[in-house]
Order: sequence, then structure tokens, then C-alpha cells
Amino acid sequence: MTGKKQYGIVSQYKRTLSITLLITLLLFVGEVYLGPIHYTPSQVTSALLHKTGKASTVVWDIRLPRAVGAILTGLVLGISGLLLQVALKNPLAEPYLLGVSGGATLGVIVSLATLPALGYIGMNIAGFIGAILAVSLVILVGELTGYNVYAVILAGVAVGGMTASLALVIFITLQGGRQLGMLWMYGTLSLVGWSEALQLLVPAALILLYLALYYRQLNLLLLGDEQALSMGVDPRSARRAMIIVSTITVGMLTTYTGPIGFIGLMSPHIARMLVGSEVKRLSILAIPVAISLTLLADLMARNLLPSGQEAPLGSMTALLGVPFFLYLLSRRPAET
Amino acid sequence: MKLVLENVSLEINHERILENVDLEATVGTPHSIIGPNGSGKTSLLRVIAGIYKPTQGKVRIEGTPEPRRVIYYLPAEPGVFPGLKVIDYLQIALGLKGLYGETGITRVMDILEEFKADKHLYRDLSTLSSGERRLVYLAAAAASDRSIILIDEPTSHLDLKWAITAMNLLMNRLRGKVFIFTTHDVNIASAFSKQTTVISNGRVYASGGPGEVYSRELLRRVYGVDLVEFTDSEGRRFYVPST
Repeated sequence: MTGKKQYGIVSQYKRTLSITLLITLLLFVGEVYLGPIHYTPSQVTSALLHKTGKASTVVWDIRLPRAVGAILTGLVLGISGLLLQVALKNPLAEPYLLGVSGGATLGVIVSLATLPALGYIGMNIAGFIGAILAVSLVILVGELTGYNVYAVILAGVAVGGMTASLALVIFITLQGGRQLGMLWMYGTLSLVGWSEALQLLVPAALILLYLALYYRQLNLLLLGDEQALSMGVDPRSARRAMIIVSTITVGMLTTYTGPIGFIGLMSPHIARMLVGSEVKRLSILAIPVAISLTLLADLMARNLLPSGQEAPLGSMTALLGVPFFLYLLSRRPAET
Repeated sequence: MKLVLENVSLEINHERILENVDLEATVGTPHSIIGPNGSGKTSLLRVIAGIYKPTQGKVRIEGTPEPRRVIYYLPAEPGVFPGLKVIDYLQIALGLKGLYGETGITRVMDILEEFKADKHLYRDLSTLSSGERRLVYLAAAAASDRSIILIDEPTSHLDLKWAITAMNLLMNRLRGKVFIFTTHDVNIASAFSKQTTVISNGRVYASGGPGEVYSRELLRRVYGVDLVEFTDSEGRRFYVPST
């Protein structure tokens, strides 16, 4: 009886995954076909196929790398959210709410203000250092409060707020590139060209590889520390590794995109509601969900404002994510 | 297979938790560990599970090439991830293969049914009652393919009927294994174990068959309470409070 039920739920899973992948594909196509500069679908198709016509440059050099950037961004944020949630045993954890993105933002701005000649490498390193410092503060509060779910999130939001304010103060003193810089301060994919998309492959590959190699460890941590320990996983070092990997990768990502919140919160949750918590099953779904949410938010950012203006991607993800966050908060703590 | 503790001592933050503990458990001889709160029962189980490294002495598992892989440990309160579903727990704890553990679940289905854990496979553990949740954990322990099963307080959160039923099911399912459990309930230990270790202040106070070891006098000295003793036809001793 239950054997049959099990196979039933497997086919249901496959259906859910197929629908999610279809939505991801549609949003990807939307990202390429829609934008502030209006082209007809046939113009875009012809630009894609023949690399000719006036749409060609926009489609090939702006929209396509941006869509690829959205995929890699969603992947990093989604997995990072999952890692942080499991590591901190906190379903509300994610890089933005924990101050990781804010710390990275401050690091990148400091690097731009002091050592602009170092370029992306300097920003990557500074982003990582900023992110690590921010998350260390939050973890300190965690240690002091026994990793209370709400105390950790409050500490993260406070650190995020502080780092964002400091970043803004330094940003104001910088010369040039105001509008683009402002967009970046609130998260954007508009700086992602082919070269940036290529560089984003590094954090994406790193975090994906970590997940593929260590998902069994993550699974055992779900059973609780004692049972994990008895099965050969040291929860302390596993947690440390997970936090470091997600902090490094989000630190690198933030260099290119600025801080983007809530994707890391929403995607593991949506996937968990649909297919449960087992990490392999969950992440196969959570990754396309995260990519879809990023693509959707970017489509909104590029197409909602009149007269071709672009809204920050971070504002759009907040628009989607804050109601979700409030919904999670309003549920009983045991179920969040 | 045999599990042997030799002269095991444990210190945590310079505090002596266990002192010179000897214990031997064999296949088919359910072993209970009893003792007052804070006496070191759980710490002893954790030492056996490999969670704590003894400061002195040895934990030896004889008759297996890879000792770490043979132990299944169920804590009294496993702090599982919020929102974990029953199927997730079983799949991970038992290492069931397949997307939803579908290739392994049929093997353990009978056991899940016995513990009524099959009824809510797709529910969140957090939405079950504490007793239902405990039965899921116990079902997993009973279904584990590992050969040493350690359970901290198996009957906690269970009503009288389910405490007895679950213990009987465990006895039956774990017959071919080394089974060690701690309990606060001396009557559960008396009824369901063949060997017992009484721990007091981190030391072994007495050990042997419960019928020989337990007595009003011993329990008075260890727990500081006066009890009335009954002996059943099999020589097992049970205790109720004296009024």
C-alpha cells in the first residue's frame, strides 16, 4: 500500500519539478524578449539567430548575459539560503537577513574608495572580508543566545542595516557613476555583462560543488546534533564550513550584483513546502525556484517603471520577499 | 557481537561525569541503565555512541571491522530541524535509497506500521503529538540495520499502553542486536531488560540481572525513596511508592 503511495509521490515530485523548470524556462525567455527597449518577438528571434539587426547588440550583449547572470545569482542565493538555514537551524536564515550581503556591500564600497585599481579582485576579496566580519558579529550573538531563531535574525538585520548605512556614507564621497552605483547599492543585474557572468561562474560552481559533495552531511544535521554526531558528522565543523562557503560565495556575488535579499529565504521554503526537507530532493527543486524568483524580480525591475527606467532588483525581491517573511513570522515558531 | 566498556571515565570542563565505568552488553541481552537525574546515564550512552570521547578507559566493539558504522543512537530529545517531515526523518536516519526512500521503505514498512508511524509519513514531525513523534523515532531505531541500538529514555512521552507496546516491539525487533537503553522507570527496566547497570554519581553502583540487582534497599540508597516491592512469577521485581 505505502510502497505504491511512495511511487505516487515520486511521480508527483517529477511533475512539480517539470512545472518549475518550465516556469524557469519561460521566465528566461521573458528576460531575453522583454525589456525597457521594445522589440517585437520576431526582431528578438532574428537577433538571436542571426546576430544581425538593431536588436542584436541589446539581446546578445545586454539581455542574454544578464539572464545568465540571473541564473547564477539565483543559484548562489538559493543554495546559500539553504546552507545557512541548516547550519543555524533557523528557517528564517538567509544571506541578506543575516547581514552577509550588507557586510559584503560595505567591503566592496571600501575597496572602491581606497583601492579602486585592484578592480574586481580587490572587490571580491573585500566583499568576502566584509561578509565574514558581518556574519561573525551575528554568530557571536547566536553563541550568546543559544542561537535563538529571532535573536539571530534581529542581529543580522541590525548588522545589515548598519553596514548598508556605512556603505551609503562612503558611497556619497565617491566620484562618478552615481546612478549605476545607486542601483548597485540596492541590488541589480544591470552591471552583469558576459565577462561578469563568466566570473559569476566561480561562486556558482563553488557552492554547487559543496552542496553536491556534502549534502549527506546537511541531511544528518537535520536529525539534530547528537544523532548527527553518532553518525560521524561533527556538527560544529560542518556548520562552520557551511557558513564559510555561503559567505564566500555571497561575498563574491555581491561584488557584481549588490545586495539581493529574500531569494535565499523564499526558495528553500517554497521547495520545502512542496517536497519536504531531505536535502537532495529539496535542492533539486529549490535551485530552479530560486532562479525563477530572480528572473521574475529582474523582469519586474526592468519592465514595471515607465519610460525605460530601471528599478533596483533588490527592491523587487524585497517586494516579493517581505510579505513571505511576514507570513513565516506569523506562523507558530515550531512551524516556521 | 559484543560491546565492552573498560574502566571508562569522562570529564567535561574539569568536572568528573563518569568514573571507572565497566559495562558489557551482548546480542540478545537487552541492557538497561538506571539511576537518578544527573547520575550520568545519558553521558554513558553518549560515550558508547561516540559523541563523547572517554577521558580514560576504552569502549570496545568486538566482532565488527568498522565500529563507528554499527551504532544507531536515539537521543531522548532529538532536536530535529523545524518542519522536517516524517518521511524525511526516516529516509535520512535509515539511509533509505530513492527520492522518497521508495526503494528501502518496503523493507521497513511492517515496523513503521507496528509503531503507527506509517499513518503520517508526509506530515511535519512538529505537528505530531509528542507521543506520536516518539513512536516515529522508535520505529526508526527498530528498523535500523545497524547492530548496536542505543536509546535514551525510550518510553518518554508515551502513555502506559504505548510505553508497554513500544518496549515489547523493541524487544521483538532488536532480538538479534545489542540493545542498550536508559530509563527513569525501574519497572520498565525490570520488565524489559535482562542486564542492568545502576549508575549513581557517575559510578556503577551495581550491575547484573535486574532480578538480582534491584532491591528496596538498593533503590532507597540510590534514589532516597521508600518503595513497596512485588515479585512476579518469573522473579522480576516491581516497585510502587509506599504511602
